[in-house]
Amino acid sequence: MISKEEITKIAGLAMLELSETEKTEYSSQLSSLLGYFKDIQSLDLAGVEPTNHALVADNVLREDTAAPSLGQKTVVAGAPATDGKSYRVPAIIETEEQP
Amino acid sequence: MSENYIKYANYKEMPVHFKPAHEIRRMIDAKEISEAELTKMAVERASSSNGVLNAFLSISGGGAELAGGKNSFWAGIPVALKDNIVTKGIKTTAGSKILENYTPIYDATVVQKLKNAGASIIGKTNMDEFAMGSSTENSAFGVTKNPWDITRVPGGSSGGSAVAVASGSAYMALGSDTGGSIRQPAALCGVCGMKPTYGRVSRYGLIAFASSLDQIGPFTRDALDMAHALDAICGHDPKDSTSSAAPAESFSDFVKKGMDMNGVKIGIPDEYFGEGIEQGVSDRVKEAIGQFEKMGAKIVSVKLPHTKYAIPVYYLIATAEASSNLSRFDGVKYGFRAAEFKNLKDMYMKTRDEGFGAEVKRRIILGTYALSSGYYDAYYKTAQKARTKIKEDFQDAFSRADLILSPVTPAAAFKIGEKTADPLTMYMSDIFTISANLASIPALSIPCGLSGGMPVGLQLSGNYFQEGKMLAAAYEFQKRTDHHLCVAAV
Repeated sequence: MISKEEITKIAGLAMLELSETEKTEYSSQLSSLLGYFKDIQSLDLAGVEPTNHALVADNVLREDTAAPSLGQKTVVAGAPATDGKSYRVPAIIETEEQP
Repeated sequence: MSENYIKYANYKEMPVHFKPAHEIRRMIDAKEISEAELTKMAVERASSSNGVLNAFLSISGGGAELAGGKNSFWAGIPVALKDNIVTKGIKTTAGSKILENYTPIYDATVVQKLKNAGASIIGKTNMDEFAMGSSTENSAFGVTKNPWDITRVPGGSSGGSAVAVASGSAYMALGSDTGGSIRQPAALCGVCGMKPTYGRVSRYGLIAFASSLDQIGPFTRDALDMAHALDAICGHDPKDSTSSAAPAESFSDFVKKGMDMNGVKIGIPDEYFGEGIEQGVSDRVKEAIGQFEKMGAKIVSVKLPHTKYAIPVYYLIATAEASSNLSRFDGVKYGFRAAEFKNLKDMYMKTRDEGFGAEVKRRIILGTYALSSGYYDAYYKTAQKARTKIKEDFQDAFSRADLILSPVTPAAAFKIGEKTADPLTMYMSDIFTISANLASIPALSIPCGLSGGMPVGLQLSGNYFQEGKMLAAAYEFQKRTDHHLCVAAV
């Protein structure tokens, strides 16, 4: 069983603000899914290597050479808030309000 | 009541919009039809049917601005793209509100390749949000309908691409397949669909869902067209470090050469014919096995004993990867940002809450849970080990058989709304397709008849990079049968 509190904690890790209705719904749905998923824990997997790579695990290297890129203006153009050169975000370091 | 489908005797009898691309290529070359006429017709069909089918999220004018590729197979042929494949200057939403205003600044490698081949891109197709779903009911932009019966789902997540081909609006459409998202809608809409070997096609410019499982592939009328589509989109790409340098023969030449089916060993996994399969599906697939036997193939029994673990393994790995991939949608770099928020963290949380739909949030939570400390070993790591066992099952099966044959889905297309209440019921509809993604092998779906008036798909899987053999066997089947000549009456 995954409690609503646990869902709230996990949602926080995933940067999701959920409504109370969503928390209740996900708590019951995830409990039933994980109940079913528990089956895999009955498998004897001693000594089995996990699949960390889909097919090949070779490292891929390339020469460190400069190539044309998109450019700053183009890259920020699709952002919801921009000054034309950078992304605009709310203040990251918050100052305490003066008394 | 008139039938919901039409069965043609051959390609010659088919109207132009339903003919396979190789027939259209011949017609263009013989000057029986012009490229401009084709694009005009495709755009008109897509536009006029969209009010009912909702297969397209955007329809463009086609290939007028495209250069090059004059001698290529796809030159001038109308094609469609799933809306999670980025297109420079054309809105790409992945079926999500969080990307409702996203206009990419570059083309995916597959789009660049199709443009180089001169294909006429007529539109972007509807899909389950971020490819998470099996019915195209999870799109932020409405449900796509099955052209065979508009009260039923087209399957998903690439439902729009399947419908684009099934309704005769495009001769080829690209989709993406993470757990069956090409093969399942192909089966449910009566067209062909293929998931190539992991790495065969570059994922550069595919909006990521689960990076170790995602693969782009085509929907077409027949197996020869699938081979032509794979010729156009495959190959190593320096921009996708997981794309393979495996040599790619000309798949279409290989298929056209024909394959002697005598002695070709086709493996039938017992685990795929258990209870819970619709009678009509089981019957059609068994008839197809009989057909392959008649063609000289040797039918052998193979075992895939870890099949029953595939759904948990898949949903744990896919959601874990998704929770990481979707962290990039934060209201800063592109797409949607919540209108009101108190501070930076609040902006992230509100943007993601308002921007993502219910299924996407459910999967992010599940994936975050499976990766969180305390549960990582019990869920994620166990799933990765079980994935190794599933891979081993297939390697063992391919030591006994050249190809594996199975149903694509346990049942034909279900009713809209039938499975939305319980996620597990929906997830179970992927039971026969997800193993190929976990094992990284290629698999395709071709029509093999009807069950209750709705199409049934037959799945052929091959070992790594054996697409040629798989496609050739599928085409040999189609040369001797007429299931692919049966189309929705639209």
